Amino acid sequence: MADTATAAPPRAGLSQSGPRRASPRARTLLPALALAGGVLLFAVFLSLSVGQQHVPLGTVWQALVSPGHAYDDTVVQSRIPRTLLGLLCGAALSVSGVVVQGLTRNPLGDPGLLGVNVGASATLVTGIAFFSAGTGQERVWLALPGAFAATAAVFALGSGRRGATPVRLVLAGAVITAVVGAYIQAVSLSYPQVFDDYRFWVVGSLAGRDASLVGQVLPYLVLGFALSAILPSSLNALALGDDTATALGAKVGRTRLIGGVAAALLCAGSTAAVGPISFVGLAVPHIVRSFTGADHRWLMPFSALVGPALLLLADVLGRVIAAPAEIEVGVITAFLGAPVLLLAVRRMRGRS
Amino acid sequence: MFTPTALSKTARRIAAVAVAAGLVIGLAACSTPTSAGSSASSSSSTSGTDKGAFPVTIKSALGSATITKAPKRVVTIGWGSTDTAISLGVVPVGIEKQTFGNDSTGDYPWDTAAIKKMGGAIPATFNVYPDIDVSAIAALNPDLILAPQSGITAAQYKTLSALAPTVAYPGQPWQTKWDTQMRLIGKALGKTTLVNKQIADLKTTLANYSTKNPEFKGLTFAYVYSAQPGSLSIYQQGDPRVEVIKALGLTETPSIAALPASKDTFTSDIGLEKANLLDKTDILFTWFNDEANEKQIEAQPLFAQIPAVKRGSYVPNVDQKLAMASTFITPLSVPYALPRYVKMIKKAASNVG
Amino acid sequence: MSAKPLGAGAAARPRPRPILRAGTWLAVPIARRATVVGGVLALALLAASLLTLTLGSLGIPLGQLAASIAHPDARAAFILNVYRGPRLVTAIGVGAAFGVAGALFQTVTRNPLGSPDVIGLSSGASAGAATFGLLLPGILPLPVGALLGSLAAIALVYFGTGRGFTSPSRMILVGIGVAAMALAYVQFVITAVSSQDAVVLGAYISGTLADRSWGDVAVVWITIAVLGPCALALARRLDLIEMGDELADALGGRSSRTRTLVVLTALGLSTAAVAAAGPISFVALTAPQVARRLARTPGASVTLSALMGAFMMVLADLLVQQSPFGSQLPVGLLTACIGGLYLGYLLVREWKKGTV
Repeated sequence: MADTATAAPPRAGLSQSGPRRASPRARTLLPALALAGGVLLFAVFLSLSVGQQHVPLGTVWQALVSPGHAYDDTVVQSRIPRTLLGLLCGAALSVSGVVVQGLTRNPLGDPGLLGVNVGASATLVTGIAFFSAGTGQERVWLALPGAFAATAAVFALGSGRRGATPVRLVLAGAVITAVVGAYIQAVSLSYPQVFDDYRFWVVGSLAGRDASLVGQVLPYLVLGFALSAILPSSLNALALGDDTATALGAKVGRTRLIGGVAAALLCAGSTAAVGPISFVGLAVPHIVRSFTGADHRWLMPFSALVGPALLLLADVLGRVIAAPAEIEVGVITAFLGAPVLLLAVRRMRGRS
Repeated sequence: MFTPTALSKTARRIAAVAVAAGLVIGLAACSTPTSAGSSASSSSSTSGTDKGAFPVTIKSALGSATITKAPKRVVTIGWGSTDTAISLGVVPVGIEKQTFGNDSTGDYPWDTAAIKKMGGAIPATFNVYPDIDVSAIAALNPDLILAPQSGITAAQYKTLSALAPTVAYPGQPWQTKWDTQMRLIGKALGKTTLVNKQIADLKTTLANYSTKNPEFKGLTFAYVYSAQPGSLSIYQQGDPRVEVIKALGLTETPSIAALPASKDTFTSDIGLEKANLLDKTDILFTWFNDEANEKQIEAQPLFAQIPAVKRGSYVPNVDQKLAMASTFITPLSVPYALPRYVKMIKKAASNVG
Repeated sequence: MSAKPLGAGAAARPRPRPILRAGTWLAVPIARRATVVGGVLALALLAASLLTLTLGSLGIPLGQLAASIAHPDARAAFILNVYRGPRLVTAIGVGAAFGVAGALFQTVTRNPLGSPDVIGLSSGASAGAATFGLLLPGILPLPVGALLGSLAAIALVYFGTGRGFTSPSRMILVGIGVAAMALAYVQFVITAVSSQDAVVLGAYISGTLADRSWGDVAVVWITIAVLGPCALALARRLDLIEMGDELADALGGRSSRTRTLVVLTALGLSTAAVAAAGPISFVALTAPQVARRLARTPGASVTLSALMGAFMMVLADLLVQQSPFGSQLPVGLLTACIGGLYLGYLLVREWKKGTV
C-alpha cells in the first residue's frame, strides 16, 4: 500500500486558519455544526420510535418522561440502551477514524487496521471455546485485553528504528490481521457452537444490548475522547510529513503514541460493547472532510456528531429494511460506507 | 429410562447372539492393515431383515445408493440416524462426534445406554467440522453410510459414496421429517417391516401421553428461540421440536402458526419487539445453551413481559441432553425425553389461566 | 523483440543474460541462479506431492505407488481417484495459477502487496458462494457462484475506478472498498442461515481443498493451458514496464494496453483458482516475492512464481491433511498464517536494515 499511504495530503496545514483566526470559515461551519447536532437529535428520536414495532413520536415522548406499563412503553425502554450505545460507539469509532487517518496519513485508515477487531475477536473466541466464558457482560472483559494486545503488537511491529511510519503501521496491521484471523477461523470452525456465537458477534450489532454495557465501557471511551481532544493541532502538524512536522517543533513520536492509545481505547471500547462495526471510522472522516477540509480542529467535533448520527440511522434502516427480521447495523454501515469510499477514490486527482 | 418400544426380549437375545457372531465375522474380515486399526467391531442383527430386501437402491437429493447385502459396518452422520439404526438392532461402527447434549463417548446418553443394554461396542467417533474426517471413516471400513438428516454437501457426498453406499437427505439438508428418516434407514438396513412397526409404536407412545394428560388438549403453545439478545424466532410445523409437542395434544397458537416460515426452514423470525404476538399463547417453550445464556435472554424486558413467561406457563429447556432428545423423534430419544419433558409441561400447564 | 533495448534498460543487472531461443517466436533470458532455484523448486514440489500420496493412514507406500497407479485396487482407486489424487492435482494448479497471477499483479501495480485478493476478487468469490450456496441454493453449483461473484467484484472495480484497469493505485483503493462490502454481505448471509450451513460456508470461504473432484482439476488446468502461455509472453513486456511507463512507451511497450492485458490474464488465472479451491489467501502475494528473493531476480519471474505457488499450496495442504487435529482445517487458513508471518518477517528484517 505504499502508493495509497501517502495519498491525499490534507489541504489544510499548520499555517492555515483554525477556528479562532478564521472567522469567515467559522461563520459557515458553526451553523453547520448546529445542523449536525440537529440531525443527530432527529436520529435519536427515530431510533427510539422506529422498529419492528412502530411507536409514534408522541408515545415515545410519553414513555420517556412518564413510563407506564403499556407494551409500547416497554418497547421504547428496550430501545434506550441501543440508542445510547449507538451514540457513544458512533462517536468513538468516527473520532478514532480521524485519529488513525491522521496518524497513518492514509485516507483509508480505519481503526480496524490497527488490529483492534481481530484482537478482540481472538480473545473472545478463545474464551468461549476453551473456558466456556462469554455470555453477556463477560464479553467486554474478554474483548478488551485482546484489542489492546493486538494494537500494541501492531505498534511494536510497525515501529522501525525511527518510530512508526504510516506504511509500516498498515503493513503491521495486515500481518496481525492475517495471522490472528487465521487462528480465529481455525478455532471457530472446529467448534460449531463457538462459530454459532461468533458469527453474530462479528457483524457488529446494537440489538438487544444491556444498559449496563454503557457503564462498563464508558471509562475507556471517556479517556479516549479526552486524549483525542488534545490531538487536533498535532495531527495537523503530522499531516505535513514527519520531517516538516519535526522541523516545526512538533513531537511526532509523542503524537503517535497518544494517538495510538486514544484510537485503541475508543475502538476497543466500542468493539467490546457492540462488536466490530466496519466503515464508520473510515467513511465518517471522509464525509466530514468534504465540507470542513482537512483541519483536524473542525474534523474532530464534526465527526463526533456525524458518526453517531450515521450509526443510529443505519441501525434504524437495518430494523425496517428486512422486517420483521433485523439486519445487523454492521452490515448496513458497510453498504453505506463503501460507496462513500468509492466516491472518494473517484474524486482523487490522477495519481498513478 | 430405556423402555424398549420395539425390541422384545427375544429379539434382544437374538441380537446379542448376532453381536457375538458379527464380532467373529468382523474380526475375520479385518485382514487388511487399515481395518485392523479400528477398535470398533461391528455388531448387527439380522433379525427383522425382510426377505429379498437386498439389493436395494435408495435415492436422495445428492445421488442414489445401492446396497447389495445386509450392511454390517454402518457409519452415521447427522442427527437421529444413530438412534434408529440401534433400535433396528444395528450398532454403528462409527458416528459423528456430537458436541451438544453428548455424553463422554461423544454420543447421546440414550444411544450409549441402548448399546450397553444390547452388549454392543461403543462406536468410534469422528469429527465433521469443519470437514468430514474421511480418513477416520475409511479406517472403519464402512459398508453403509447413513446421513438422511444431515447437512453434507454434494462434494462430501461424492467422497463418501466412493467409500460406501451413502444415504443422504431426500429434499433439503436438515429438513428430513422423522418418519421419512426412519423409513429411509429401515429400507437401507433391509428392515422395512420392523421400522414401520416402530413408527406405529412411536405414534402410539406419543398418543398415550396425550390420552394420559387430557389437560393438554385445548392448550395453545409456541416454541421460540432467541439466538441473540434482541432476536426472536419461532419453530414451525415440521420441526421435530414442534411435532413432539403437537403429538402430546397441544395446539400451535393459530396466529403464530399462520406466520410464514423463512425459505427452506421450519422457523419464522419475528424479532423480539414483536413479542406481543405471543400474548395469546398458553405455554411457551424455548431452549438455552446454559444458565448464563438463559439469564441473558430472560433479563430483556420485552422477553420478561411475555404473559406465559410472567405467569410461569413457560418451559425453558436448559439441560442440553433433554433439549437434544426433544429435538428428535426416534425410538430411543422419545423414551429418554418424554417422562421428564411431560412433567415440565404439566407444571407449566398448571400455571395457565 | 531484440535483446538490445532490454540490456540497455537493465542497468541494475550484473551482466547480460544468455537467451534461450526456439525459432523466432520464443526467446527466454536465462539466469543461472534462477535456473537452479527453479530446479530445486520443481524437486521440492515433486517431493511434497509424493509425501501427500504416501503419508498417513490413507497413504500408499512409496514402493507400491507406481504399481497402484498402473493397476489400482479398490483402496488405491479411492485414494488416487477420489480422495487425494484430484486434491493434489488441484493444489498444484491452484498454487501455480495464484503464483503467476500474483507475479503479474505485483509487477503491473509496482506494489509488493498487489494481488488479486487486494482488488476484491476473493471477497467477491465469497459473496458469490454465499449467494448461490446458501441464499438461493440449487440454482448454480457453488464454484460457479464463486466465479460469478468474483466477476461481479472485478466489474465493480473496473467501473469504480473510472478508468478501467489502467490505474493500479486506484484499482487497489476501489478493491479494498469492494472487498469490504462483499465481506459485510458474506457476514450478513452467515448470520441469516442455519448454524450448520454457516460452518460449511465459513470453511469454503477460507479456501479449502477438501473433496475436490476431477472437475475442479479441469477448471484450473484448462485455464492454465490457455492463459499460461499468454502470461509468459506478457512477462517480457512487463520487464519493460518495470523500467517506468515513459521509458517503456519510448521503447514501444505500449504500457496502457499491456497493463490491461496483464490484469485480464491475472484475473482469469486467479478466478479459475478461486473457482476450484475457494478464495485461498496470500499465495498470490507471497509466492512471487519468495521466488524473487530466492532467485535474486529483479522482477517477479512467471515460471518461478508458478513453481513456488504450487509448492506452497501442496506443502500447506500436506500439513493440514496430516495435522493431528483429526478433522481438516481449510488449507486457506494455513496459507494466511504462513503468508502473514512471512510479511511480518519482511517487516522485521527491513526494520533491522533500517530501510522502511
